[in-house]
Amino acid sequence: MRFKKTKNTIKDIQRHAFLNACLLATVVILSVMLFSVTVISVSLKKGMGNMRKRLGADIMLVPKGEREKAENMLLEGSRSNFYFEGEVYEKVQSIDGISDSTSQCFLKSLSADCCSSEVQIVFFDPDSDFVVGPWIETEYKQKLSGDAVIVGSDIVSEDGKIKLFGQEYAIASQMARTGTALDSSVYFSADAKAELLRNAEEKGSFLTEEQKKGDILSSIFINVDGSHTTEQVIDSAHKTIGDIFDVVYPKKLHESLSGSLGKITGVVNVISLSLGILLVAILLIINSIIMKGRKPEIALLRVLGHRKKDLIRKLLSEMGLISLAGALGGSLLGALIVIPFGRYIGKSLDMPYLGPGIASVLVQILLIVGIVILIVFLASVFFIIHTTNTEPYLALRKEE
Amino acid sequence: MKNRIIFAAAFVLLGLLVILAPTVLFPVCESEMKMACFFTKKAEIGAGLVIAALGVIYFFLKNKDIRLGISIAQFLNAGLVLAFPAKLTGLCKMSDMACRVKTYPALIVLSVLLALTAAANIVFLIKSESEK
Repeated sequence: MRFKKTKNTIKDIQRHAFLNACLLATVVILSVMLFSVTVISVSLKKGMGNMRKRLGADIMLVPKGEREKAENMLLEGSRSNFYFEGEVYEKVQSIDGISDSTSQCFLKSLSADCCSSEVQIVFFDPDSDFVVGPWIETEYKQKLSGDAVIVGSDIVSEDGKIKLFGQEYAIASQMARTGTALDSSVYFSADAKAELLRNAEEKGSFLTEEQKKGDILSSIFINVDGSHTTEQVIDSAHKTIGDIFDVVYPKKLHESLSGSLGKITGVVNVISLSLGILLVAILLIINSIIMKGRKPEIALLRVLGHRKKDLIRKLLSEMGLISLAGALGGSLLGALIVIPFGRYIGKSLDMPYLGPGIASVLVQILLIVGIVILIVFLASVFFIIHTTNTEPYLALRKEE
Repeated sequence: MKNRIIFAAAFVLLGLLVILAPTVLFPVCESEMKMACFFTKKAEIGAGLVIAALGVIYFFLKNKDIRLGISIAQFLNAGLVLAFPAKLTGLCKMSDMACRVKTYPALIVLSVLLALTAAANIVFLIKSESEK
């Protein structure tokens, strides 16, 4: 019975094919827009939230003159080589007011395995670390030894191993996605530095004089304890190790990026709102045309004894079917475009971008179907009631 | 006639897009070395040519059964378009490379569109056959 009703509704829709196709197209465009805008803004916000977690230190000390490179590295994950002498870290540790400190050393490498691209090699100290740790997805208990590595989420490995400078390293764990190029880094324990540099040199990679020294580090991450201010700690650092460093404030970087994200989403919201209003206006116009054209048909049906309530239900179910099909089709079309191209969108906006999972895509689609059906209902209900309320006599006479 | 023109045009267009996506529109990584994505590009050019050629042949055929067969072939070709980057020839290993960021998504979209077009045509042809 229900199936037959749906079939009749589809036949009714086909009877006014052109206008209903216009209505369907409008609904599809509206849903594609709604879906894409929500998915993109949610993913950018998620990427930003992740970024805040990653920029987990109060201050980061880098060699003098390398501030810009270091900031780019934090934000975009671009690869760079800059170094302190190894002894600087020990001196920094003696400064008052530091609650946590850890050091990292970066090394640009040639390709991993085949030839695909450079990876950034990061040496970190697993004992004092508080920057890399929170990103490790699968817990690993054993101490990170010289021949095991932690890799960023984008490093693809079929057999749990990665080949660097001719040597294979077992992958102990993989980090969660951060949404930036840091996802293509390989993290070694600091103990492995000497051996890796030796391998690199043997394999013919170009090493700078500094890198050949071995006892080097690139940045020192510091958390300041509650009783001191960051300025005090920076002052004491200047006194202890001299004027050889620049300071990067990871948390402030995040604030500035959030600001630009705010601007982007602001612009996107204004554009999509105006487009949305335009589309709703088009919906209203199409609905008014459809209902005007159907006035005689409705009047005839009323003359033939159909109840007003049944007619309203019939017209609403037609609208419901069109909006359901349009919203579903539109959301799926939006998903087909936005989800595969997610990384491209993030890259072109220069923002961390973390695409949605399957569950959240399904929730998003359901939500958009609901919203679109509600919009179409609100845009048509007035015309439907008006048409069914018109006296059959008047409706038929006007057509003469 | 209408069906033949619409679907032949769609197949030719999609075939051309499969050729253009990895070469012009969303080109694969540029490098002197021949990387995995280079071979994917070559394979996609071949697949695209076959899809477009089948589209042209489709236009000249009146026999509905053969047209149905071509549509089934196009549906399978859609799988091939996706299988080259995903499994058969592969892409660069780093996920921030151009071939993974741009070319692969474009090929996914094209493959789904081709599969949907071919499936729609298969349903249409079977239905019109049974209505006779």
